Amino acid sequence: MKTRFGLALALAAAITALASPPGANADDLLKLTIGQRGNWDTAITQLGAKAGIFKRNGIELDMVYTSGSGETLQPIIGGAVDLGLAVGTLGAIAAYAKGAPVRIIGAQATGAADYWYAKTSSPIKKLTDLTDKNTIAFSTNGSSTNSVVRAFIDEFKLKVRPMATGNPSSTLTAVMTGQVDVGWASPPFGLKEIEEGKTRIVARATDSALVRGQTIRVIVANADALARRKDAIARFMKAYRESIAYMYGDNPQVLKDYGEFAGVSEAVARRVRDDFFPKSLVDPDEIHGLDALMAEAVTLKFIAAPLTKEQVAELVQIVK
Amino acid sequence: MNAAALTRSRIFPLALGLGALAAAILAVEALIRIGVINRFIVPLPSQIALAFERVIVEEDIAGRFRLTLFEAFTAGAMITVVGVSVGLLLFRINILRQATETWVAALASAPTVLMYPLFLVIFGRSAWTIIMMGFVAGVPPVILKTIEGLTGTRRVLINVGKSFNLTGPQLFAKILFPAALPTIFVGIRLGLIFTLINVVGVEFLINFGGLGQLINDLAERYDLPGTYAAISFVILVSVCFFVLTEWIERWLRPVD
Repeated sequence: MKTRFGLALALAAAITALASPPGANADDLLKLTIGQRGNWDTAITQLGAKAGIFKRNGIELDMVYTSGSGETLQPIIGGAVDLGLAVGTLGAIAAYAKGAPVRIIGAQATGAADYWYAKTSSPIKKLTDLTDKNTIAFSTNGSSTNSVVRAFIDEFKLKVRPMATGNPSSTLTAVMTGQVDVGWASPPFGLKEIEEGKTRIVARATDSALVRGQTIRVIVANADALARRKDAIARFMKAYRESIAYMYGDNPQVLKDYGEFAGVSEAVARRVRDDFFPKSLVDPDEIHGLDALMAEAVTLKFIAAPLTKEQVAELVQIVK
Repeated sequence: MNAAALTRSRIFPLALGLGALAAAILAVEALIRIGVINRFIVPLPSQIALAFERVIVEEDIAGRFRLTLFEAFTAGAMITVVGVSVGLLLFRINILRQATETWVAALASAPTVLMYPLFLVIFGRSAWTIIMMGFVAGVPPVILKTIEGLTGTRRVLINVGKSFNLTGPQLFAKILFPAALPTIFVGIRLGLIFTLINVVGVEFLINFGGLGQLINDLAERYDLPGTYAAISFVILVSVCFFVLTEWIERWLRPVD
């Protein structure tokens, strides 16, 4: 009787295993919020997923794009998503300092591909042409573009007036209608206007020595998710690195996929990668310029005082 | 004191309202403290109360409050003047009303806030973009309610006026306008709601001006208590407006 019962159990288990849907043995699902859709550096997960790199590492991604750093960070703090990409480093520091359960697990952008431009008809050709009668745009107070403009003013001893103009689209409107002299954009946005001869590049973010050496955006994890799903997050980071290698390799498919994703031609996609995003910019393995960022965070009222060494060690946990 | 006397009392409704607000705040504080509400998404009301001083001292709240109030007040005055005038015109010229009323109603429900890039081009990066966005969003309800109020005047009142041989302007001033006033004020209040939402929303969107910009800045800094304190000032602007509208309505209609 016992043997028969045991056999029946084994048979039931075998049938259950065979009849299980593929999802029962599915990859680990990670939920992501990602800022700045369409940029080359924020397309890493998109392109890696399309190439099957994340799947190969046993990771399935649920990606939601947001319109800003705060919007990216909030669901991570609330625990609704596991990871956030392209979170402003200052925002991540501020959230951690206020007790929010966030951890930096990698760099997302060191230096910046953002560029500043003027109308072709404008006499402004380079940063040093700017006087106290001119205005230069940044997105919002406390943003990475605000930091870059402050760095331009400090390093080039400019008297120009900074002006918050919002996103690249509204900034282009402001530039073309003469409301601001120098606008900002993040490629591929605005490259079409440059190619059509309507605007010209006046400066790049990397013209500032300070910006070149700073990790301005990071990859952030919910602290609880990081503790509970360390293995899945480690595999995510492995796939992330492999995706970067794929994006900078010689497979032309990546440019085709990026072009489709960002709505630009393959030629523009190639220009975006080769002219604006050196591979070092997307290296996730090290956070650069943390001291300067900390000082910036205090100046811009993100935090009241710099984090201690112990706090930094808890906040920054690069997953390798 | 019975229920009717309590309702008539001026103090009791005010005390009841404030008491309900205090109870709601205490309930939220308790829910956050016991962990039902995530404190990293909704800050403790006690933290928000403490943030007021910081926001007032460090963020030039007085200047920002004045700017948002000015923008909302200017747009509010414009929707009242233009909305009531256009409503009156459409009431008087029937063919014009038939031709345009549906369009005005459609405009009332249109998400005009999405047109802010166009307004930026026309009015520039200035308070006028915000004022005009508030105006466009707030004027349709005033027009519609003005028409509704005027057409809803009881026939018998108009006939009484005519029996006294009132002229057109006299009929309007003595009968039509007073009869329509409560409905017109409903329209103005609705318009002010849309106006204020748009003024603060566009300040937030284009990162310009008063309280909307401050809310954006504080949210980006992950200063949640500060953000909610700034939102409280927006509510204060709203309260100022509604108190003002009530005063004006009472002044125009001293006897109900």
